[in-house]
Amino acid sequence: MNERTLYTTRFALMGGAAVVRFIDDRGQRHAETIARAAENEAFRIERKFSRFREESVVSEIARNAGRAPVAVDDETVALVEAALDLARLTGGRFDPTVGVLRRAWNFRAPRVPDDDELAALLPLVNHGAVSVRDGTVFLEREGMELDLGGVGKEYAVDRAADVLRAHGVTSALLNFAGDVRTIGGRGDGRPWSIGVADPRAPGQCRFAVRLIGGAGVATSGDYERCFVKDGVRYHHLLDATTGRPAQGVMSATVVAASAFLAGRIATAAFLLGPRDGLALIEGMPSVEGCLIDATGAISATEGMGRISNLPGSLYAAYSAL
Amino acid sequence: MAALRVAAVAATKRRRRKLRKLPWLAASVGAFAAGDLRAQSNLEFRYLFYQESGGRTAVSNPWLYLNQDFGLKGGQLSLLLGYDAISGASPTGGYPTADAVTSASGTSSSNTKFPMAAYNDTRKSGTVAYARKFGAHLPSVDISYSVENDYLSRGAGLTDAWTMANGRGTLHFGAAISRDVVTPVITPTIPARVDHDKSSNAAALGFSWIVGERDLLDVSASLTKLSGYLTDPYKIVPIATSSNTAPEIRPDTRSRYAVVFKYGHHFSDTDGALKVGYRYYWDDWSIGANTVDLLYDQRVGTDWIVSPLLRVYTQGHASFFSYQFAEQQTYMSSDYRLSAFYNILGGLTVSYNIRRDLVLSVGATYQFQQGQDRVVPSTAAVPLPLRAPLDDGEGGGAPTTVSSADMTVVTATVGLSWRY
Repeated sequence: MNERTLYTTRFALMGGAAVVRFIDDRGQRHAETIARAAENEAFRIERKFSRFREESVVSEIARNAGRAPVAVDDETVALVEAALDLARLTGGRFDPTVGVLRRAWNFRAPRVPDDDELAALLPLVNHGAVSVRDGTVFLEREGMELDLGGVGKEYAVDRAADVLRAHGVTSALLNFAGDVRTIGGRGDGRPWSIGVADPRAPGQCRFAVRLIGGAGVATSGDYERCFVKDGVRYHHLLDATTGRPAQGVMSATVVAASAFLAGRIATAAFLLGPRDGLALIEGMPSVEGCLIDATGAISATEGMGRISNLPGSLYAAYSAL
Repeated sequence: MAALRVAAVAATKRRRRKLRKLPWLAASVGAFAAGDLRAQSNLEFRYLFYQESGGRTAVSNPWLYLNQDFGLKGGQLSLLLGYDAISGASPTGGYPTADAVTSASGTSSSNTKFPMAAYNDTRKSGTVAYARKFGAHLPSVDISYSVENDYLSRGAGLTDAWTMANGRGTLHFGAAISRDVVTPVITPTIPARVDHDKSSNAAALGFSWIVGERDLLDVSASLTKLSGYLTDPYKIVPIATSSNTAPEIRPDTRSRYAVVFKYGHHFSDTDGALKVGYRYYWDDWSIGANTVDLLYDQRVGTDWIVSPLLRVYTQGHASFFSYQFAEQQTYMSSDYRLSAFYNILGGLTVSYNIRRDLVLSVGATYQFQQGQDRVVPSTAAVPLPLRAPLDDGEGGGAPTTVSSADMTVVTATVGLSWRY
């Protein structure tokens, strides 16, 4: 048996960087095999669910919008159902068909679409027009699109973690461009330390979550794919009921049993706003979280204080992240 | 200590304060300062802008200097008034230890930036000095005062330049004291404003020698004894796993020593002057530092002087510096200013005689600084071969080491001097 070693690998995934760290004692060749298997699983999910890939199932569903249901497998049904659940949970503010609004919003350029532009597109944003039945998915109106970006990366990081576990890994941390999944602790009795990004200080963290055991951590925020114009921040988290970026929250972070669940709740909390968002998290069993509102103030569930360096401690004041 | 100013590569707020308040030391640089002391009256205004990279400290510093010459018997009275508007952020002493960072969808996957504490402050300062020649002696006395949100400084100095050997040599020596009060502002870790005393007693001795017609040599040494509250109240240190941090603790005394060698040569064929300086500094916190300066003044035509500058500075770390401490220690600091680093400064100043009595100068410097005490931001891991290159700023897979001393600094200065 070899020495227990912390390995790390990185790869590009879904437009971001994925990092996989795990501890193993079966030598580097074996570690490479494990890492490659996790990587392959992440790529499989990207190929299957990315709206940027022609061969993906979501692209096929969009091509058949208004024409015919598309037969899909159980995994796809589960993801689409999860996205629809999130839509219902947020009263339609999250919507898996919101992707058509990209025709109006291009966050690479600081241009705010006018009401007419958005009004023309909003009829195509309707999760109620997504039908999941008998192993098929159907978008009822032509021109509609299905976007699982709101749940895909979180799902991928969970599946990659499953692969590691299947290979006997008991201590790992996976970070897919901000969506995190852990297995066990660091292996030396210490917890994994997950910094929560400061929404207004790139590269800095506001505080840290410390985790022992498997958990998922996800954050939704207004500081990626965004621009500021006339003092207003426009970002990619669109309220599907208005077609415009949700306001009131800078960042929502959720810790849950899986990144898939954490990601959905973080998105919902962000879209619901500081008060309702926190209430949503507090109402979920075994889920903790916090929101940083538009003033920069942090509000968190009670349990979040126990697994992080919130609040008010010296560590929190000058977080040594 | 004027020499200390020369070596103040990081030019931090504290350092800036310390180096400004001892103008009597101008005498201690001997031959290089002799011209100043013989100058006729002049009024000078300068504006300095200082900016550290990464959103760190920025300083906007206008100052006004008046030197009034009352003649041989009347002596010279000088007044220096300064104002610093300081903003930006300063590393707290913590380091990036998160294994991962959760963030909105993006490309960031790790945290390699040091935690910072934002701050804003202003500093108002004034110094009055008087010098008068008595035979072969040129004694001077000065008092200084400065105030910031959290710092009050009062200082006084006394010095003499004793000319000998038919004017070829000058023995210069002096002493200075300052009595300061540190009143840290309230932060989450500082519950109430409390005054802390800090004092400084310094002495310097040097000798300047005119060697031949075109060479100057100056050798000097200084000793500074600091005592009282020498800790930076805003700095913290990570303890053990970084699950905890604690305020830094520095000794309440510090003895600082420096020896400085300076040499100047005038090239008659090009009408240029080369000034070379070397300074060795050490203290009882185990910091040792070397500074080499090269400054060349080249006259161009009758009205221009072009002055390139190169400076190299290296510093060892204090005995109680570390990026992480296993447990609480008597003294401990993670302040990068007490770490080992090197700094290379390049600069250029151009002076132009608008009139015979009016000089405009414009200058800029660029500093590159790199820490030699480095830390791996999170648990070191064995990198596995990548399937494909990944341009995410993480390098080739090896653990990235970081230092909070890493930064670049730019300064820009514009000045106007009027002799009358």
